[in-house]
Amino acid sequence: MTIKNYSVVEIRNDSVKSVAGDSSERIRSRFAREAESLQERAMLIGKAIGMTAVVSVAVSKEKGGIAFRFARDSGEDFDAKGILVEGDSPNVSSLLKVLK
Amino acid sequence: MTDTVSYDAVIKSLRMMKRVRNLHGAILIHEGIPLGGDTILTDAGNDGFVREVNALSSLYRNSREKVGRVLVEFDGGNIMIFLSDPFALALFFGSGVASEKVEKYGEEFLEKWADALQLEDSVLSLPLMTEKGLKETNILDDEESAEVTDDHEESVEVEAEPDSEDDAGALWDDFRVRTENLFSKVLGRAQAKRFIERELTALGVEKGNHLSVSQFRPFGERLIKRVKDRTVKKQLELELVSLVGEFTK
Repeated sequence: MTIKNYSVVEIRNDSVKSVAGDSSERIRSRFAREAESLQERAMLIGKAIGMTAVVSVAVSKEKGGIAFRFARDSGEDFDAKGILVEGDSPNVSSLLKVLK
Repeated sequence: MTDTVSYDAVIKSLRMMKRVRNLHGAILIHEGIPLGGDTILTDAGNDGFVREVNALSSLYRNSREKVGRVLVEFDGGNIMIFLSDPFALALFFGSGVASEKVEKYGEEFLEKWADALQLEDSVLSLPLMTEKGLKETNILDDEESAEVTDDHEESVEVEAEPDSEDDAGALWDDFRVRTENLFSKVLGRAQAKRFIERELTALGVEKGNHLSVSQFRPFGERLIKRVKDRTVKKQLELELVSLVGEFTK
């Protein structure tokens, strides 16, 4: 079984660019919307437990998943890199692994 | 959920897993209320964390998407959260432990207690994704999988829950009044009432909503934690255990 409905994106200056998989506007918009909410929630979780910087977030859902990580250094030519999966439900560790 | 469960064995097992697996912390949440666990957070930190996990869960509940797991990596540590209504299991771990392993530990723990917690299969085991696609992999070798030798055989007490929502509400009203009576012994009646209201609000339980029988004990323990005098605390604790016992017989 292979995941077919996915998209790997890179975020630069608030712009979401597709680098692999489905590059449709719908996917990129969906990713941006969901990643923004998740980043906010992750920051609040971090604040509650005394952590400051979010490095990455991954979520697996019944039908799909989303993950993103921020650039580690200036050598990476993006602000953040992400993946959005629709349909299949991979585990969260491997979602992030794909981005590393 | 048609039955309620005595969660003592589950919490004991969770604490054991935290120690054996070298995790920084573990906590089990039921309907937004921490049932127990072991973290290095302060009470306020624990409350704040639970509140934010509830908010995260609500984010997806409102959009009717069923979320299974969440992994958040921070610069100083990581959290893996398994969401399976009405439960949430959070595992805290450092960079020395691979997230794949923690995910597997969580899966194993939930599989072990799936019947007792009445979990759905969907949260238990998800396939790995690789750049080439999906692959089912056991990332732990047999020796490592066999490391946990804790209370597999421990029995879990299962009790009947009220038949209807009305019954559950009536039980809660009764428990709440009697808890107010209990705390009225050390506070004024009005103060005891406000104290309970404040704690319920802090947990996100709105007026008109009620806690289920399985939550009576953790809620009572939360109230008792706020009492500073050690002697009074001990006395209230004894009476509370007896009170909760009347509802869970």
